[in-house]
Amino acid sequence: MKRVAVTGIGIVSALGAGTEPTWSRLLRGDSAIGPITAFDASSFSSRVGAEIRDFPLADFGIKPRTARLMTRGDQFAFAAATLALREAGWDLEALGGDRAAVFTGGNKDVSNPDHLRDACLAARNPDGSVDITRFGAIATDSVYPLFYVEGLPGSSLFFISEAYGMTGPNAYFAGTAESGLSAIGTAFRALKRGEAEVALAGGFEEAITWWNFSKLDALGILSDLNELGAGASRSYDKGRNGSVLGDGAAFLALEELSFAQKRGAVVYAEVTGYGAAFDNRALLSPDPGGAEVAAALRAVLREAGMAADSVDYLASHGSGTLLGDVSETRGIRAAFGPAADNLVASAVKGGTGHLVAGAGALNAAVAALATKHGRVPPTLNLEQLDPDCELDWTPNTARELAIGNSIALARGIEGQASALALRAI
Amino acid sequence: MARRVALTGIGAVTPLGNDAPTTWAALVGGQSGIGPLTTFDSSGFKVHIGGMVRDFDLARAVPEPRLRRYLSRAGGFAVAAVVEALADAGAPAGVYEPGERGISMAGSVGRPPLHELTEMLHLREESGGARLYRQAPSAVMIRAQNVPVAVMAQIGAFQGPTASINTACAASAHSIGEGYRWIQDGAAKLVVAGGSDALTTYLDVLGFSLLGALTEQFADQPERASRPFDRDRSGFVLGEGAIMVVLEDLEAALARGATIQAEVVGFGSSMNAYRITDSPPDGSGAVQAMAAALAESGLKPSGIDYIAAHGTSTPGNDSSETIAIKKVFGDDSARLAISSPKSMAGHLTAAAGALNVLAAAGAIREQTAPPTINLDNQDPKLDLDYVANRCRRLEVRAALVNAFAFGGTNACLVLSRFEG
Repeated sequence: MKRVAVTGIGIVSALGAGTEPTWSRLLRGDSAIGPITAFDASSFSSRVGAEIRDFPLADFGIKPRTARLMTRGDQFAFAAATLALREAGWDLEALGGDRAAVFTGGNKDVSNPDHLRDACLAARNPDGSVDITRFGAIATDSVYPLFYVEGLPGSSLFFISEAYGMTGPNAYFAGTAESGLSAIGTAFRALKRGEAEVALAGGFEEAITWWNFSKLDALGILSDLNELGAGASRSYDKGRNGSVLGDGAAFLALEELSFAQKRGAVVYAEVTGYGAAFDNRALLSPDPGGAEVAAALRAVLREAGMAADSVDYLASHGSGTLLGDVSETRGIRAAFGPAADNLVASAVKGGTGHLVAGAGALNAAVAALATKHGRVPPTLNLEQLDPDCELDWTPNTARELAIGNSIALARGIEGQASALALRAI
Repeated sequence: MARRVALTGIGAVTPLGNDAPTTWAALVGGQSGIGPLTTFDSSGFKVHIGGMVRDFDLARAVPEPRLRRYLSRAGGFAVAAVVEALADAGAPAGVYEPGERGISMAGSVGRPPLHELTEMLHLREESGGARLYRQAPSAVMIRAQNVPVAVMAQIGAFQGPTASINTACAASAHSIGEGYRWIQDGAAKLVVAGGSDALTTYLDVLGFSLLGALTEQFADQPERASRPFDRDRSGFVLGEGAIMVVLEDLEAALARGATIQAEVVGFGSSMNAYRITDSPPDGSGAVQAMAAALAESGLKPSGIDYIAAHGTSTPGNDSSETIAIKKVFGDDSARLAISSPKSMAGHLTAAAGALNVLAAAGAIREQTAPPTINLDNQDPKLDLDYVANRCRRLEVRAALVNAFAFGGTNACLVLSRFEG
């Protein structure tokens, strides 16, 4: 079995279109959360988010012609993957494109519904019914012919592979926070068994859209503490009442450790394990004990060959929902036992917002950066710790910490949990 | 050392039948499942036919109403296929620990009904953007891609790894490949893997039509419209359905006395890095994925007897796939029996690779290759043996499964007869 290293990190978030601005602002305790400006959110109970505005396409080599085939989420993914790749600095031509893998995780929906607007409105009868025959005829003649290509779920794989000639193993995972971490975990396993030499893997999300809010607002999982602005996102705090969404993407460049060392690459950390589990009652009655979180953590400790008390830092999920933060805490405590009392953890969602399908990948990036730099970003707005969420969450201020082993955690909305283990080199 | 992986169960809901044995019988019988589109009134559209699932009764597979409540059309197919696959494998809840049972699924996110989408857009337009529609939680859940995974996890006591993969038309070959990897790596002992899709909606028919991917010919003779490798092919026919297989750690399956239908011995995936909607004419990405799957299996080209081809019935795919097979198999390509289940079922998109796995597993189990139907005038430029119109008895030691996708991803699997 081969060993796997992280040699590049790419983050785009509302804190900054790049890893450095995002990381330094996370450490400073800055937040990008504010009132939504991308659309008129007054119909919704949740009206705050972390928006990426004025995304610099050209900085990432995205040509206008290609941009027309991408959703904004695809653009974030491509940009983050590009940043990770630039940092790793592989000579892909010498390596052979077939030895280069790409795995992505997203929550992409049916293209941009606005492409269908004119045809829908023209086919609507005054009584509110829709004439589907008229719709078909009008849409066939007038809809942007590539709207369906734009909506292709896994096209992030295409854009990355086409731009960089990476043609190896791949998959696109559809889901929420677990999906981007599944992508990274799957890339890790592919490199471990020697199926590829290098890989780009991560997750992305175009969160702040009217369409997304029209889906999520009634589910009761978003914070409506609009008057608090950046304070609306309060993982583990007594006053929390839901998630605050954020735009962005995070990708890692992974490669075989000896290959990285041979070419003198900067190594952030070694990836030592991946674990995933599912709460199969989540749909009807989620387990308040976070059994799936505990199971994913136990699985990752097992593959990494790590004892719980050797873990120094956990990049936690902290969705900010009432039940989610409690069951996460219980799951962590169940897996770590007494070692949980010495564990340092933090959730960065107060800074970047919840990147949904990008959130797990962002946690992997945060864990790698923290391990490399010996600094832990804080959990913001943690003023009164919920007594059911007892753990050292690094409230409000970053801290220095020598990190040997770290774990990134992610949870999906249907009951998924996944975890990635990293070790300092 | 990678653990060996057995295929011990299959379940299916397809245009050819609402279970796996009926689907297999129709495949070897050369029956077409293509008919008029019944999911919406297509009279204003350019395409009027599809491979439709008929007389599907979800309540039979999922008796509990509260578990049916959030299942979409595709989600219902998926759960029914899982229930059948677990029964076929004799692996209900209780076989292995819940944490050793995983789900690797391929599918699509659900589409909003036209009237709801129109209402949202109308409301926004009329109010100048000030009023936006809040979708009902139940509607959101019905369209969520992972809700069927949650339902099957509840029914089948799955608490191990789960994933939903959506690499379009290659997705279920990917998902079965990833499930195979989990067992190889020891991350699970049993994985239900496969795909489910029902892109037989107004939105998808429109989308594929605008790209010119669907045939507009043979609207009056739907059963003749899907004609892979034929001179008169002109595009694919959309189908719907689900195919799920049970994969198991071989050693554990043998220990519990399971019937081994086939062994999964190779998986390879690749990207074309060419064009988003076209495959490269030289078949390069497909060559790479087939070669990777074959290399992992340790088999030589001479060890493969059957290929369940992607065979979409588009001019481009059938040509580049043929070229790719010739590149990988060389002189052996002339000897191979190759057929496309899409000639009968239509293109099951995210479930297409899994349908090919059903065909390959059936070919190994029954030592019979299903045919490619409607192959009346083989395209003179495509000169391999596509098992025209009638199934064929032959020795099948191992079979290759092909799945290629829009977006330029490819996934291939090798299944072999279990030899002990």
